[in-house]
Amino acid sequence: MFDSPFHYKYTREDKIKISKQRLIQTTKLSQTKKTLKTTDKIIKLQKKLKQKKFLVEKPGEVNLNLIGGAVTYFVEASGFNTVFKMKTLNASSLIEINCTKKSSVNINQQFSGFSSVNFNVEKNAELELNIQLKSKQQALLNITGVNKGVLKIFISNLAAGSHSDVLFNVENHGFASVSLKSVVFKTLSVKGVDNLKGSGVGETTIKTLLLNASSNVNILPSASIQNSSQYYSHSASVEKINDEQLFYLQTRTLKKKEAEKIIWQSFLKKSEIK
Amino acid sequence: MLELKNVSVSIKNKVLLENISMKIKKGEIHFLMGPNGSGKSSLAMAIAGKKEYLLKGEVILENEKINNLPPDERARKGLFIGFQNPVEIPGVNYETFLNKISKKPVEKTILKIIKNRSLNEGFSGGEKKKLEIAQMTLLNPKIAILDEPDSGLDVDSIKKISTIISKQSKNTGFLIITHYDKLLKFLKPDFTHVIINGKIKTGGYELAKKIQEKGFKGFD
Repeated sequence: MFDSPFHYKYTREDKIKISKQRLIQTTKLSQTKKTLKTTDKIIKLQKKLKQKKFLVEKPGEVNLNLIGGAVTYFVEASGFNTVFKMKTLNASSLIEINCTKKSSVNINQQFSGFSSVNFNVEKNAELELNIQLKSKQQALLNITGVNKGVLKIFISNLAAGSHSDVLFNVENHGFASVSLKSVVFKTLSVKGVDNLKGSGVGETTIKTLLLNASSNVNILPSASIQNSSQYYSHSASVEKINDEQLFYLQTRTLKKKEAEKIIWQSFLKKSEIK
Repeated sequence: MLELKNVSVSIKNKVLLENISMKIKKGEIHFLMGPNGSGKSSLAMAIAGKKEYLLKGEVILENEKINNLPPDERARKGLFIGFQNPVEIPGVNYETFLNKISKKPVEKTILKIIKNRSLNEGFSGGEKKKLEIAQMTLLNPKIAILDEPDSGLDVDSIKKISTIISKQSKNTGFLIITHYDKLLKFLKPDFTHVIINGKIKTGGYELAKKIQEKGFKGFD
C-alpha cells in the first residue's frame, strides 16, 4: 500500500500520506524519557502511549496525516529548508520537535483533551504550531522548550462549550521571537513565561481575536531576564471581529458564518506576524 | 427591479432620510446626487442591510420584500453594493476570494492585478474602485448600487468603467451615487435623483445637467 522507505510498521489507526520525503521511525521508550521535560501527569500518561519518531533528512516537503489514539510524536527536522507538515487528530498527544539549521516545521493539530509540545528551535530555524482546541469541557496545551529561532503559535479556540488553557514556558536564547495568535470562541486563558538567557534581543507578541460578544480571554504573560545585556520587548492585544469586514464579505454573498471564518483565518495568517 | 416605498433611514434615533421612493428597472441607469452629508451613502448602506441603519418603509427586489433579510441574502438575491471606501482584509487572498464568490471565471487581466495580494489591501483608491466594478461584473447582479465609483479615478479610467457599466446594464439596473459631473461625460442617466435636506427630488438627464451647471442651489 505504501511504497515508502519507512522503517516503520504501520498500524491500522494511522493514515499516512507522504510526499517526496524519506522518514525514519523508531520506537525507543528510553528516548522519550530522556527528552521530555514534562510533569508527572504527562509521564504517567506516556506509559500508555505509543511512540513514533520521524526524522526529516533531506530538503523537501513532508505531509503526514496521523489519526489515532493517544500517541507521542517525535519530529526532528534538520535538513536545509525542510518543511515538515504534520496533521494530528488525537485526543491527547505529546509532541517533541527539534528544528535545526534552516529547517521549518509546521504542525497542525486538532485536539480536545490534553496535549504537550516540547521543542527546540535552533537559530535560523522556524517552528510553526497550528492548533485547534475543540474541547467542550477543557482543553489544555502545554508548550515548553528552547527557542533560538522563530516560534509561531496559532491557536483557534473553537470550543463552543467551556474552557481552554494554554501554558507556555520558553527558554529564549536571544535574537529569538515568540508570537502567539489565537481566535477565541468562548474562553481561553494563556499563561506564558519567557526565560531570557544569553545576550541578544528577545521578543514576544500575543494577539487575540474574540469571535463573539461572550468570548473571554485571559492573558498573563511574564518574562524572566537573567542577563543585563539582554533586550526584550513584549506586546499583547485583544481585538474583536471587525464589523466592517464582516459586512463587506456578506454583501459579496457570503453567509455570516463563512465571513467570520474568513476573517479569523485571515487574522491568524496576517503578514504582520513575525 | 428594485423598488423603494416610502423609505426612511435613521441612525441612533437621528432621522437622515424621509419618504424616499423610487423604482429602478433592469437596463436603467439612475444617478443619485446631493451635497456632502446629504445621506446618499446612508441610503445605499441601509438598502444593503448594514445593521447600524434603521430602515422604515419597504425595499422590494423582484417583487420580494428584502428589508428584513441579512445582507448576504440580499446579495444572493441579486443586490450588489460598490463601496466608496472598500475595507481592507489583510490575509484574505484576493484571487481565492473572487473564485469563491464569482459565478464565472475571473479574467486574466484582473488576475494579473490581484496576484498574491490580499483583499483590497495596499491598493490605491482608484484600483480599489476598479476592482469593485470587476467584482460587480463577476456577480452579475440584478441591481447594482455604486457609491461614487468615479472618485479617485483618472479620466481614462472613468471612461473605462462607464463602458463596463453601459455593457452590464443589459442585465442590471444601476443606482449610481455621485457628486461629480465627470461621469456625465460618458454615461447618460435615465433618471436623476437629488437628495437635499433628507428629501428626494426626481428628474431625468436634464436634472443632472442642471446640477452640473448650477450646483445644488435652488433645491432647498
